Amino acid sequence: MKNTFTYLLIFTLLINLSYSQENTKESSINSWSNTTAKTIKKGRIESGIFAPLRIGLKNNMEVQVHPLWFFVIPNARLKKNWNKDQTKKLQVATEHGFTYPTILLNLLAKSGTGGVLPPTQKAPSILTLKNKLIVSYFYDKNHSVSLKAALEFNMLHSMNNGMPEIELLIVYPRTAVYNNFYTGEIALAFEGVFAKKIGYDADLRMFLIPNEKFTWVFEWNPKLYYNVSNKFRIMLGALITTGNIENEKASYRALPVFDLQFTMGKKKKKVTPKF
Amino acid sequence: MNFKPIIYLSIISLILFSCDPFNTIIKNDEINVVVYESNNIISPQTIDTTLNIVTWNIKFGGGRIDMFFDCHGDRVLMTKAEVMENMQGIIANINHMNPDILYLQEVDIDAKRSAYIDQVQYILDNTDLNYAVYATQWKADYIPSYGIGQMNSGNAILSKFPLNNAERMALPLIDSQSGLEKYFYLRRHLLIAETTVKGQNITLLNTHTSAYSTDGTKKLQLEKVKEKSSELASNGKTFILGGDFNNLAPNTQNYCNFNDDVCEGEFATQACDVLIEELPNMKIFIDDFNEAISQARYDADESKFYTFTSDKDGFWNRKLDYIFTNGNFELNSGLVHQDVSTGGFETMPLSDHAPVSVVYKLN
Repeated sequence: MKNTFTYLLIFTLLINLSYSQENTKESSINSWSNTTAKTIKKGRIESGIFAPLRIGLKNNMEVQVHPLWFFVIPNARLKKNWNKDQTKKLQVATEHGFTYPTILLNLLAKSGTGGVLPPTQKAPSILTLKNKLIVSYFYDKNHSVSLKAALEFNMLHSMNNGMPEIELLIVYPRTAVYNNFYTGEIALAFEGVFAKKIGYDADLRMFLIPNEKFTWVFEWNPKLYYNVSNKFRIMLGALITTGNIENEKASYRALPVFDLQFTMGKKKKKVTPKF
Repeated sequence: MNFKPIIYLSIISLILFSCDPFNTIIKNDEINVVVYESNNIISPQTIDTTLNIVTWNIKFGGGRIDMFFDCHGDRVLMTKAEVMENMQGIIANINHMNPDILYLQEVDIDAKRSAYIDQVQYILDNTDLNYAVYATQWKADYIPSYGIGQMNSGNAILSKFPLNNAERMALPLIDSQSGLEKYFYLRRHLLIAETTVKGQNITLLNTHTSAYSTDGTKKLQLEKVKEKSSELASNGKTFILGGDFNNLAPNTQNYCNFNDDVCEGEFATQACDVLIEELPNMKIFIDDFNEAISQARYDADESKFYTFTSDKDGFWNRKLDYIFTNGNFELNSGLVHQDVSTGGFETMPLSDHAPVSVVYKLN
């Protein structure tokens, strides 16, 4: 298991190092949203089958919502870049968002197939607030490394009624805050482009859950993007995760991830990079 | 365009992504039996010429909590305190019955519904039984139905004497279920182990056949169990077969419209015409082997030998649990521990099944 992860890490770093040497021109892929501290341009709108709807409110601010999920899990996130000049190598941004998962959890508490939670167990009101700091360093025109740190709070934790937890890798770190006052997350993310139409990002993420056992979960989330045009791209990747979740039997879990993403809104003006 | 990263990623994905994401499949080529030992081995006192054999479906330490599947209630998960309280009752009755060999059905070793308590180890550590083998019949990392969650439940053979050569023999799956249902559903089996007492080698067989099959699967399972038992007998081996067969005995008078039947839909008891059709199913065992409760005793007063009711406020109303051998039981020693008057212990609060015991005569 350890060896597998070591190989995967080496694989990520090698891709980064090898391709960072090859590209000198910034690709048009850079107009797409990314996981760095940069935001999408004002007026640009992006979405995907699974990706959230992103709207560039200003050149340094974007808002994100999951429209498909919004009616069962109201959510929104605001990302603000704090640099005056988004072409600088070092970029800083913060993200602030909320979710209200109670409706969804109650829909999942049902008899028969699809009953992820017992039908007798109604979810309490849960309002989570998540704040994230993102510091990105663009060490090359088309490649960056970002350090992220986030804290998610359950603002209505006092209403917790002992709802059963879903002790599965992938799910647990994202839902643990429902039964805790807060959870933490730190991540190291590599992102960039290594061909005219190919982009990548790879997050190495650690969730920290301050429960009795002090649970940690490590995730590796490499993704490749094929940029069909400036308005449409295909994402293919994987989510590989391990951790010390109590009662989780698997030492690791892997999930393929896939998305079709597209843009709407005004055509982007070509920006000449300054570095 | 450089395709190498895509190729690398595809290969890694193929290796990592399993076709059994919830880990429910029990492969035949894996070691499927868990071997247990008590933390406190107690050497059996002078071994008699008899063995006390008990079979009991303990309803995963659920006692008389009304669970969703019996339709008297809607509970799915139990607290640790509830399970421990129920297990203490089960332990007290096991110690009262003092079995040399105990067959358990519906015993959980790592299930969310029973607060992840390893019930096999707990029973071993709190009784005079020393050794056990366990085989799972319902296993999943997460069952997304009724909020059941993680499951590892099955059958176990517990013994005062060492157990050897344990194996899990898979029984047919219910064909009429959809692929998804089948993936998360129970996988019935025959648990086999051997023990040697006073130089006599005995093969121990424990099973729990389907409760809700409507497509003839239960009959196929019974036939497979019979086939294995007959094979052992024809090879000159002595066996004791016990379990919850989920089938009424031949000649049963009270065979349908039970007063505790409140379920509809997927958990409903079969229709009267199906139940009457199933009555002869157990004849394949009764005709060829000795039964703890002989057919004659059963025919004389079947109500004394009822072993099941889902209604905690009612009384046992049907016989589903049996013990057979191709050796010898002491005449009329078979007993259903229905209550204080018939077994010396109030068993109704402990499970939806009553234990059945019999005295086996060593050669």
